[in-house]
Amino acid sequence: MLRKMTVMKHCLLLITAILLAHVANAQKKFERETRIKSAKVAEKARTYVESLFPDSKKIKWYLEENLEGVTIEAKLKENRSIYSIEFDTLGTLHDIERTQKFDQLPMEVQGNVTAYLKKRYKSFKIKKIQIQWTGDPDVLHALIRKGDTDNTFTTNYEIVYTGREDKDTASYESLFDRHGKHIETKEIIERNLNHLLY
Amino acid sequence: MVFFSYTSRKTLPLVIILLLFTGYTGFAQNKFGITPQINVDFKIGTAWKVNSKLENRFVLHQNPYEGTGSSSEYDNTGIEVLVARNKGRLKNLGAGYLVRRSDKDGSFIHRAMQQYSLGQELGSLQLAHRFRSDQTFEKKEAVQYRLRYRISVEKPLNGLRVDPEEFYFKANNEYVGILKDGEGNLEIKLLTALGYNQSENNQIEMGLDYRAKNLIGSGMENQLWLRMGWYHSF
Repeated sequence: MLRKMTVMKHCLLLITAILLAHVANAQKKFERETRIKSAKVAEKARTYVESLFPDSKKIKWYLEENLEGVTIEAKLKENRSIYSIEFDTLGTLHDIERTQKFDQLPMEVQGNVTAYLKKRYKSFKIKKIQIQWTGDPDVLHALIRKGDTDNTFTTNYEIVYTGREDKDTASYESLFDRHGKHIETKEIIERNLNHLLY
Repeated sequence: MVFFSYTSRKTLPLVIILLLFTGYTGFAQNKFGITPQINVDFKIGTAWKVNSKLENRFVLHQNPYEGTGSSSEYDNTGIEVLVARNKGRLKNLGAGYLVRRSDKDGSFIHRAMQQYSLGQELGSLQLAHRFRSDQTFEKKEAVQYRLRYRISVEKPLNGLRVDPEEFYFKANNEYVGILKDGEGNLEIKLLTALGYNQSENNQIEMGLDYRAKNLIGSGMENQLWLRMGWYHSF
């Protein structure tokens, strides 16, 4: 039902992306999120998040549409960090993300990320950093609850920043691996703020 | 009804309280009216943007009223054109000109404007700061100089950002310092509005715009405008 409802919007996003691809070569980030009630979330996803954060009273659920499909995301605040736990519509875990400060990143990652951004842009400013974990749900559960695990999982870093190339400044979202090696970059489409400025 | 049906149950009471508060402050005042406005803009290349605004004002009630008959009347029409240059992400430096025709004596006022504006994100809130200076020229009147600062905030009523076909709440607060004929004065403006983001290029808003004028010295004037706006980008 949820899937049917979003098919039309999804197609519209795809058409827009194709049209824009003709005028810009840079990969763009398309995302649309809508707040939903927890009752509309797959039981499997709800139970997983509640077991991860049993003391969290304020878990917000969102339906997120992007070019890859539709996902369900839980967001909550814990120990001064914001966690985002993403699932597919059936409740299968995609990844867990947690906000972090730049100086909390491993030194190797800090160095490689800084080197990449310095090489790519004339100037840059980091706005948001998220550590991203993917892997078996039970392994990630142990990682979050106990702080460590012997099993294997993947760590990446998602960084949102503004970068200036020549005279143009834009917002980007880049993904780096656990060593800080660049994986991909998407340009974030800015909202038109005329109704706030004029 | 459709307008309100989209707003979430949690945020609607907050919006109503703010609107009522603004309304309460204003109804005991001198002037109440409606002000429809159309605001359009288009880009010239990647760095330049032209923004123009057409605004009408109709007074529905005024007290005291010096004339005879109904106190409701057409007040004025203004057209404004502003050219802005992109000075970085969400930062603009611009200059513009406004012409406004008053119905009272058919006179025109002319205003030159200079502004610097910047946008800022704060979680799900979108903030915008505008610093503006202007000079107003009117026949048989001394030139009026103003320095203005306005802060605007936009909150999505669904989710973490305002997407197409979603509603948002907007508020702005402006402080205006005035110098005319060697005398200084102050004006404060407060707007609360509900907006609908039809697409990235179209927004429709309706809200209350309260203005407290001549705050220094005697002759304080209060105005409350029901503002309806359409913003379109080409």
